[in-house]
Amino acid sequence: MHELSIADQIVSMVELEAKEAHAVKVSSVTIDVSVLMEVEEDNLQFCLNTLKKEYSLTAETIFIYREVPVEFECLSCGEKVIISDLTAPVCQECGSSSLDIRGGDSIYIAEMEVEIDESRSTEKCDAGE
Amino acid sequence: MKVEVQKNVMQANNELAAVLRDKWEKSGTTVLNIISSPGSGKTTLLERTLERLQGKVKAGILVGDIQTENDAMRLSKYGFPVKQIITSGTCHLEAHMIEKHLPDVDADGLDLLIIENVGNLVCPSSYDLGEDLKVVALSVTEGEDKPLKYPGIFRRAKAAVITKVDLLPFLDFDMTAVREYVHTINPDIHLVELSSKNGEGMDAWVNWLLQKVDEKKKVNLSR
Repeated sequence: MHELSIADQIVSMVELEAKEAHAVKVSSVTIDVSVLMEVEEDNLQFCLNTLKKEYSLTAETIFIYREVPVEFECLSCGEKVIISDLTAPVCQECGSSSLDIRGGDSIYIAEMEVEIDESRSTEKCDAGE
Repeated sequence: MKVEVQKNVMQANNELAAVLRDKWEKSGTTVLNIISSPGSGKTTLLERTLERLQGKVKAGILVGDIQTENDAMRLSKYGFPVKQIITSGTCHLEAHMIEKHLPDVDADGLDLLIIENVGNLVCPSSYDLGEDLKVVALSVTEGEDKPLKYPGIFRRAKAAVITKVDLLPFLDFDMTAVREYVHTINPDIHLVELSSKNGEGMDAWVNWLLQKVDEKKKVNLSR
């Protein structure tokens, strides 16, 4: 049940990011979850949907869950290796299974869709759509 | 409006873990984070380990559990400072818990800090505590396919300890298969097979540990 700790972290980070962007509401948040995290999607969604009500901007947020593979470096040939199935990790180039994790081993808040308070956001919005 | 965030949710924990790792780099302290399911024999393994470490290294132990001081009471009989971290429900240790309780066992610099995580083969594996080595323990009563079922921890661990091998004559546990599964997930892992009960394999385990402590001290002295 590390989903609860993770959800708590996600919701508080989203609230902070949204405030910095002068958002008045967060419509959706895309979360990239590494297969290495062994997170159960339904469990995480349940925790997120419970905790989001504790914050002002996320009360109605929809969380979009995306599973992401792990990035390894092959210690034999140096190739970058992307793997989703951790039960048989091998380098697609040389077949070596001697791999070191280089990324995609955590949970990431990828992006979010927000509604902005136009009166308060000036320069911030220029980078938007 | 779309806002790019691209932030690691584990960032706060990872940043604190990096601070701890830096501190232990400077003090030349080797840090072990032992992870396994409940009942695999982590605490007994540590008891027999601490017996063998007496007079050889300055060690300290932090032990995590959801409830009770039982493990700290068992581990405090060997002359090393021990602190129980009671998580009251949290299924894993986080870096801030280590930071908070570290002063209780690390008054003037340690050679070796052993962290016994909460018994759980999933959640603790994602929380960096600033350790040098994650060590996964698996007992022969649990079934040889555990590495395939819990690849995360076997992938992240630097060593795997198969415990309770004295029970092998009474079980159908397939030792050849577990070796193969462990190495399928992580071919570079250091594999140890031992029995805390009859002492088989204990010397090899403790010597490996002392070697790791030595290596880190040497790196530290040469700087």
